[in-house]
Amino acid sequence: MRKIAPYVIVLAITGYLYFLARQIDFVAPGGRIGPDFWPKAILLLAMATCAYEIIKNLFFTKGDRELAGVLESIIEEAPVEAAIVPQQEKKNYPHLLLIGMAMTVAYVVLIETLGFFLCTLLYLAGFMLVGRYRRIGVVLATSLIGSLVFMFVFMKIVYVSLPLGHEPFSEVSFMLMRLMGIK
Amino acid sequence: MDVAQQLAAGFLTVFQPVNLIALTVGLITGMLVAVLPGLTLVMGVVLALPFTYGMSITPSIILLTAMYISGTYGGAFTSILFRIPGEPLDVPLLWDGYAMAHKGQPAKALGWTLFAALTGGIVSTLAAVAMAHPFASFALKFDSPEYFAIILFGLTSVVALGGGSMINAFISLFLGLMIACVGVDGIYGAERFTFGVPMLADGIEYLTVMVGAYGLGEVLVRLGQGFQTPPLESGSKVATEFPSLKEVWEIKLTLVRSSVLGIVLGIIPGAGATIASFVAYGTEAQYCKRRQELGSGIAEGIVAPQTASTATVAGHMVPLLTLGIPGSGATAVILGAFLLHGMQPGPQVFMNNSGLVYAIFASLFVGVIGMCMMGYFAIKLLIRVLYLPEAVTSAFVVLFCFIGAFSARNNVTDLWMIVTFGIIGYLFEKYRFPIAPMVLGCILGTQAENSFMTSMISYQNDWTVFFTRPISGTVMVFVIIALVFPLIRHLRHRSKQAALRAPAR
Repeated sequence: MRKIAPYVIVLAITGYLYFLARQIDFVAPGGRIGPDFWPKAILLLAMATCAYEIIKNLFFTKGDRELAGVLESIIEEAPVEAAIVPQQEKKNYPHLLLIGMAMTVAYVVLIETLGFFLCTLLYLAGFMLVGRYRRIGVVLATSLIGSLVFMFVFMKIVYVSLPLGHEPFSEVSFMLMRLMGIK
Repeated sequence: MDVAQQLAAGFLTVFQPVNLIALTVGLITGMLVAVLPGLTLVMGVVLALPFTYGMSITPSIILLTAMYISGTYGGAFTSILFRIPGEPLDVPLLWDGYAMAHKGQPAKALGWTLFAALTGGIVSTLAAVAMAHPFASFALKFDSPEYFAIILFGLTSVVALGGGSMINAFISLFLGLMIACVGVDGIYGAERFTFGVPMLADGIEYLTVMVGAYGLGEVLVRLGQGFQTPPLESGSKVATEFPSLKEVWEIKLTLVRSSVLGIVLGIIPGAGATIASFVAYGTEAQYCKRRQELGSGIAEGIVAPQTASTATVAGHMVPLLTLGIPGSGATAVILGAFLLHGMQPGPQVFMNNSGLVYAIFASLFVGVIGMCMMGYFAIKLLIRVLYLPEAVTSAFVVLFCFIGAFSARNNVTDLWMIVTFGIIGYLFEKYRFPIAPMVLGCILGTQAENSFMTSMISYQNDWTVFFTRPISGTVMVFVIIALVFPLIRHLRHRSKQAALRAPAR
């Protein structure tokens, strides 16, 4: 069941989009195909592909080799055993992943409030710690220098208007801009 | 002006200070990206894109192309010295490259790699220069059915030639094509899948799709694995020893075979450096004199994959510059750089702006030589980045992703797009859906739809036009071959397996 879950989800999404595609508002003169034709065709193909995979997995040839791209078969038929590639036992850290995702979302939520510098400083330091790097001195130094360098390069050289933040956090951005000579 | 004169003018352009700086920065960055754990070549080129916004078009393209070419070479060092393939294309180098280093000849193995990259790069660029003009002249005859057929060929070959499940690749492609449909359509002005969000009316920037899926997605995958970079073996000496002329002469056929393979596979959209590297190694396993010794650390096993993978770069530039069709993730980013500067590569640009095109070719020549010099003189320094903690580099990669997306439109909403496509990229990796078809579908989707719709309008909804016109018909045959070929391989493999199992019963 877990194997077919991605296809069921894609099938559901494409089905919903197909429903939306039928409601696209347009006027096509003289029998021409409209702007709904292309997305509908793509969605039908996507739905048919998902349905094929779901039916195949549910009812047919469970242990069979799947239809693979040419590169896959080339690797399989390689003259030398690919086993020489060091295969580390891969552990999974779902909690790190969830924290990392949450931090990334928080970065986007907070960047306009805290401003680029403060938000980036916190994010970089936090991400390194979540990534199991524990040399606090290096974490703090690289986060601070990294945030300052990025701010300088993008605001002073590349002329990107990075978010400055709201009061009182914007004061930090303005102070740094004065120090860096950014107008 | 003839080709030689235009190329000479191209060299003069490349040697202008700003372009030379862009080239050098590109070469160094490309090599660093290939060496650094957790960074891929395409990801590196994507992350460099925002830095080109403020540049004029020539140094932008030179920088990205230099990154691309040196990225195909940098990973060889980690494969040979530390058994860490920087990119999938470096995997065949483990077999003979690492074996040669393990036998006590790491300098020799690095020398062969350098020689192979130099040969592959120079020969393929020469071939690309020779082919580009005829390609562009031929492409001038194309009408919308031909363009549609060629884009379709590019998209299907990405699916057919990739690794992993073809079904998953198709789903990835369809999702990419759907992403390209979001926004106001170009012919009728109808809103599609905008959900009432004004920003979606402009469509989804494919830059955010690329940056999110390739950059943030990959970092999330590695974070989920706890950033487990394999430990480095100590004691590997970083030095390069060139092969003698006699040794080179002995493998001349390997060089010819691999260069030709690299160029041809470079021109075919979807068949990138990885396929070229594996196919070249496989070809040597069938045709080289010492095929029985392959895998034990012989020169042919190093030269073939490296020559072919470097040769694909110039090969890829031919369809990109003459037709505007990117054949790989990295060339898709380079196409993005062209579009961001308001230029759509294709036969018209090739004919009317040939100065830029030949400057790019000249930069490939200079880039190949520069990267080899860098490999010879500065690799000791570059390889030190291997000791950078992955958590630190990954944190900065995410930051690059955000700034890259933000600087395109100065809009925080684009950051949400990055997060969304980052999570989609992570899910794609987790459930083994390839990202490249989605990205290419997203980039080429609008072009594909426009050429399809224009053909339908011009030829009164007659879909047979794609098959009845000589050029588009021929390309459609290639499309069918691209789709049927993996199926034939699959059936052959099944019957072979059945035959092997039969005596056991």
